[in-house]
Amino acid sequence: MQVDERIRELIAEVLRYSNRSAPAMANDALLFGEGIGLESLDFATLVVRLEQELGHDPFRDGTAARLPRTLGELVAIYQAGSPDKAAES
Amino acid sequence: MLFELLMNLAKHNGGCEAVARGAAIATFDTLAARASALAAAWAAMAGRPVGLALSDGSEWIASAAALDRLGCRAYLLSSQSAEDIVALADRFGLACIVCEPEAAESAGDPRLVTPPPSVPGAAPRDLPANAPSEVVLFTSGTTGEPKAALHTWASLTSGIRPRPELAGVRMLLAYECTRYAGLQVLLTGLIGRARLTVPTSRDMGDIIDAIVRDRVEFVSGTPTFWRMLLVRSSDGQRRRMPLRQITLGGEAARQPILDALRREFPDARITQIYASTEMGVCFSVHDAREGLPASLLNRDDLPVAMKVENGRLMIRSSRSMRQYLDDQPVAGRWFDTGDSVEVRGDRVLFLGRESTRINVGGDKVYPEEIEAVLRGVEGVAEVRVSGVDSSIVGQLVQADVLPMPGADRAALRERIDFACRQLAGHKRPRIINLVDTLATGGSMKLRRGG
Repeated sequence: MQVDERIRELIAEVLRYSNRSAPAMANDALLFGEGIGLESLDFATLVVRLEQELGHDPFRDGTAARLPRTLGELVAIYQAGSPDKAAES
Repeated sequence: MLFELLMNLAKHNGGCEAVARGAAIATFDTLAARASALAAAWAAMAGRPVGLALSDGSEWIASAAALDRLGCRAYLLSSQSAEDIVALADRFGLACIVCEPEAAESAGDPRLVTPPPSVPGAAPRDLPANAPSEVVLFTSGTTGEPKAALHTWASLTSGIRPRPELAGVRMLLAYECTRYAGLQVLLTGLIGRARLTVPTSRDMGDIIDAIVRDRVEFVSGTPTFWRMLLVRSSDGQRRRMPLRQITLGGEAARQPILDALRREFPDARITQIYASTEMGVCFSVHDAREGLPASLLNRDDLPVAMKVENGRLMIRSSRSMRQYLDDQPVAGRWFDTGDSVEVRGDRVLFLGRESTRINVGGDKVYPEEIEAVLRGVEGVAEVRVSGVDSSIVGQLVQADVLPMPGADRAALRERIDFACRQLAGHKRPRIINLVDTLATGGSMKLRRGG
């Protein structure tokens, strides 16, 4: 499965866990606040889940310089952060 | 002291059954004779540091008594792999380690020895004079490296008073002998001349069989042990357990497990023990209410003094270990138990252990609190809550949930999610795993961290 598709699924799962439904997830949708509406603990959960599935955490290993604002930025961080994985698929 | 105790027991109650493991039964006579024979065979070990890594049972007791007689410093290592035993021998500079034949053979290290087979009719040779012995116990290490606590058989028995009513009573030794709690059960049983049942394995199915088969009346275990016993036993098995004494220790017991035990075994006395490897037995209460009576705080007329400082339970005990190995003596000094407590009304309630506290973005979460909530969910057999590292908020709460046998996992997951939504955001388990087994250590406490 593509990373961007999996990230969208996990966001929906994290929101559902808090009894919130997932809004439309366009690439320019804001992750926090108005937009997708993730809270910091939701985002932390997403990063841990992705680390468990992909084997790396760009926010720990320093490949991500700062937190992303939009869904597209988040997807880009993960796509850039695992070049070896991308090459395999 | 242990050796002397066995000799005395043999003198006055020699023919009585002392230890049963499966079909093998040892009397006090056989225990004492074996201890003498082993002491004679191991005379060269006298006064030296020796590891004991046998599995539990009469041979363990006889070996421990022999090492006591020889004035050894006995390191009680639970039965484990040959490599681990060798590593411990190196770390503590042990002269030799008494272990099972499989471990001795696979290690091929001359320090690993097995108890020699008994030679019928061979009289023990003269033993060297009695020398004071020591016992090294390891803390249960539910988190991190276990610590080595230095005791003597006298400090280990100081909280045990002779109770004539225990003679012939059938007790279960569910904890490993190498644990402080296991030694308490063992020594209480020996001093009281009770009959100890040692399960043939750590598996709860075997333990339940042993209780039913041997008609065990006294059982001591952790709350985790009791919850698993209730989950794994059938109604019929529980009806055939003639339990008179139920003891809980090692972890804080919450009200639901106390209520469940009261319901299932209405005739049994329920006792909660507060003890630690370091401090020994501190208090026991029999009212089947969670926590300790606050009236025990700040008293100077008890052998064990207790106070709360900055939310932590502090203990000063005359029954404590002498010291951690390679550390200052602790006897007579205040000792920080690492248990966070809260005084609510007439009760001291346990919130959790400082060392396992989870830090979620600066908010403190005690795993015990979340575990108690999840245990209330229908279909949950057991839970372990821990922290998982997060690059964003430090740690998140993670729950490993063991479902009841036959539970519908999808429906269970929905009930768990529902229960979690009632918790404050930082306390809510964010990673939830349904698992097939949950590890408990030899101490029968839920393993944490790692």
